[in-house]
Amino acid sequence: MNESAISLSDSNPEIPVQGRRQKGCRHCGLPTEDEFCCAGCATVFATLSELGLLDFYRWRDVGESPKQRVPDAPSSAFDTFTEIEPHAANGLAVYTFEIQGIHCAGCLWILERLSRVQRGISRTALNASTGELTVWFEPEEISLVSIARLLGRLGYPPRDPRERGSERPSPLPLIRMGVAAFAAMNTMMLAVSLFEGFSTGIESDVAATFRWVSLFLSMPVVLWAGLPLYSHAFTALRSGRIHIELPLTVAIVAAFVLSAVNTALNRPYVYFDSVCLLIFLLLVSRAVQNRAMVAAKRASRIGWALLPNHARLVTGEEIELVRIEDLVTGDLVRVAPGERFPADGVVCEGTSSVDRSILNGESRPEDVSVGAQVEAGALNVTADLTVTVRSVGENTRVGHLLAELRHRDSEKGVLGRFTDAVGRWYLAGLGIATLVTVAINHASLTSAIESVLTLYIVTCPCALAFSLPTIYGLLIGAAARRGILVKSAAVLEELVRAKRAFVDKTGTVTTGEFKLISADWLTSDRVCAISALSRLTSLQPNHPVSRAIRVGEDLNSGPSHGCFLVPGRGVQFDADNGEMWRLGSPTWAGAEREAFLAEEDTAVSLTRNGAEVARFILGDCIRPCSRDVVQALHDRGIRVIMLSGDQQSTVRAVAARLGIRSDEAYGEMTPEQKAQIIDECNEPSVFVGDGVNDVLALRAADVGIALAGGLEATVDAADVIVLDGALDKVAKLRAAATRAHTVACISLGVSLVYNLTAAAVTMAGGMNPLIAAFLMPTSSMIVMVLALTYRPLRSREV
Amino acid sequence: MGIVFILLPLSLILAGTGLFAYIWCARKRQFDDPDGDAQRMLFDD
Repeated sequence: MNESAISLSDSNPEIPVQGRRQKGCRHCGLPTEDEFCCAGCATVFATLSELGLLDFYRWRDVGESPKQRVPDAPSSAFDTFTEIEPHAANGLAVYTFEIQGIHCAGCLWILERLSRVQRGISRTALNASTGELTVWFEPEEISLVSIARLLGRLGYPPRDPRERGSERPSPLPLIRMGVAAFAAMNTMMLAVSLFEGFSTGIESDVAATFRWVSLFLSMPVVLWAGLPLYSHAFTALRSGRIHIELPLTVAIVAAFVLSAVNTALNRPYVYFDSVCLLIFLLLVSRAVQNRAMVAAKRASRIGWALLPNHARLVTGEEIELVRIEDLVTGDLVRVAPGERFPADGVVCEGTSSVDRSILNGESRPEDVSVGAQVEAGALNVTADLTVTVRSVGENTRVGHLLAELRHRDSEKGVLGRFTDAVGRWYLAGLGIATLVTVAINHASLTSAIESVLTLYIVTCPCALAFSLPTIYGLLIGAAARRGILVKSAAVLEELVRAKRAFVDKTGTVTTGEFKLISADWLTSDRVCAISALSRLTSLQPNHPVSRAIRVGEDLNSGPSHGCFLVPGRGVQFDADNGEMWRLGSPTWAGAEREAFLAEEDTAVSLTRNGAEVARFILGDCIRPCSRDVVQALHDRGIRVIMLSGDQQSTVRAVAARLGIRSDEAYGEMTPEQKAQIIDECNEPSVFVGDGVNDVLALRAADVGIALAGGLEATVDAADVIVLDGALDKVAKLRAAATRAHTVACISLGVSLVYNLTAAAVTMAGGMNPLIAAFLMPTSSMIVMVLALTYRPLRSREV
Repeated sequence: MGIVFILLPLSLILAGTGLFAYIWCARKRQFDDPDGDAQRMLFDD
């Protein structure tokens, strides 16, 4: 292995952030002020050092794709793997995991070198595009569960086998596209020769040969490669809907049959090249849409790994380990601290606190005691609880949401609903045109049929059928790969039309965490003070104020005996030497001087015997990008309105800092009031919130954007989910959607003009089949090229 | 112009070879992992 000395300072890059230079996490590169952004990264770094794999950092691309905070899996998370039988191949066992967390070359590098660090693993192969890791191992040396745990430790947790996606994608779509492209290119080549022959003359047997060759080249395309298109059109027809691909199918069949007949009769009007090209472009468009859907699905899977596999059933005096599937309503289960609840239920014994962040994004634990409701998937934080089970499996809140997510995944097409609306107009117009054509050309049956067929060949909903889907498919796919999940193209259209943006305050424009802004020490004797401070903040280490001070002053947690809490005021410590230390609100602690305080901040004083020793200013930091996002929205004519549950004065202060007018900042709002204000707004509106208690508002707005958040908001209510909670992505998404909208309109415009002109000429009977044969592929290509000039890629910006 | 009857099959055979090579690669799943292949090329060891 390459033992080159890596300068590890390379792996701690400085990332310039508005106003403040921030270091990047040593492992993943995301901006952070500490050495690592989270415990996960710290663990992986330690593991890599232990295993001598620091070369990883040579290949790690800093900030290449957004790293999602994959929720920490409980220690029992991979137990399901004990029940899996791996396949056998040549004396080795082989199994394919579906893993999460791959986002750069470094991940690929390390995952394919696992055999060097773990005995028993013979070989590993990663498919970076799908996230599948195939492991060949010796079953006597190592078990599947251990491999799963190793992957988890390295930061690539495998998905629970119960939640595995479908089987490997087949290469068939690629092959179909290849065949169609081959035929399209060759028939076009022959068609050009035939066109040339019309003006300069061509020998009739050569022309006939070219026509027959074109026919045979087109057959596999029309009869095989295009099958998915026809079946899609007919499936829609059977369920009573007319999909945009139906007229295209008719056109393809009509053109092919007409051309075949003409070839047999030695007449010169053939359309094989148009047909093959059309099929090829349609297949490409479908492939783009599929890629978008797959990217979105991969990014959004949350997984059953949140639920434990076993539960501790209490029967009388005994506790028995049972599988979670065997629980029924009325069972009593015991849940220890650090474990997740296996089912929805009611606490019947014990007092503890519960972290429901999975569900509602709220990271502060809530106290529960007898009679309180708890949900499956929530984390028990402090103490043992005994719970009476009320609902299990898919009837739990979490189970219900996950089932809905799966169901939504299988719905066809990211774009179906959107094109349907415009498509209905097109089909109506086409129907009318057909009737008119027949009316005008009813001289003979053949002329009527021919003109109708020509009409269908010439008119092409190319923009609808492949240009728009391609544009929006590219955008949605690119967004998904950057951690922004968009539910449909219709959402993007609404986003472009929006005139008002309602934003939540805490967690959305601010980071949502209390941070120490400044510490004012009034004494030079810091040692005693620091030790007292350490004691005082250790009493309730998870309290936002304690945590902020501990992080800001870099304190270790220590003993806290001798301290007690004075509710609503602060913490007090009576030392052995008679000194009384207080940490809390300045007036209670005994401080005398008034501090100059920004309205949105909080002051906390540390006093000894009533004399102030230090003053700490804490605040919820405004995200650096917030002001720019508001400015960008204002520049585009969108009014930004802030809604918050926090105090009016604080909200106004924060709003002012962001450039929001004070009459557009509302404080002390309940979730229902927020939703009401949004409802009352008549203009198209967007709501941006962090998912905590924002479900109603997300539903009320035309476009609800959730910045990370709990399952309830993201699965149910939000139209757009920004997985890593970065606010600036909202503005960038809108900019990209606007560009998409422009190109889409141009495509539709071009297509409309073409169709109207061509249809008018055909109806009047003046359409020369030759011209038709030329116009069709040309118009399709123009529209497709337009679509491809649209670049949704914002890789340098995002 | 008789040369066309040689050139045409010739060009179709050449193009056809390309097509078969493409289909063979697709069936061997060589196109399954474009992201991984691009990165794997760069590793030294």
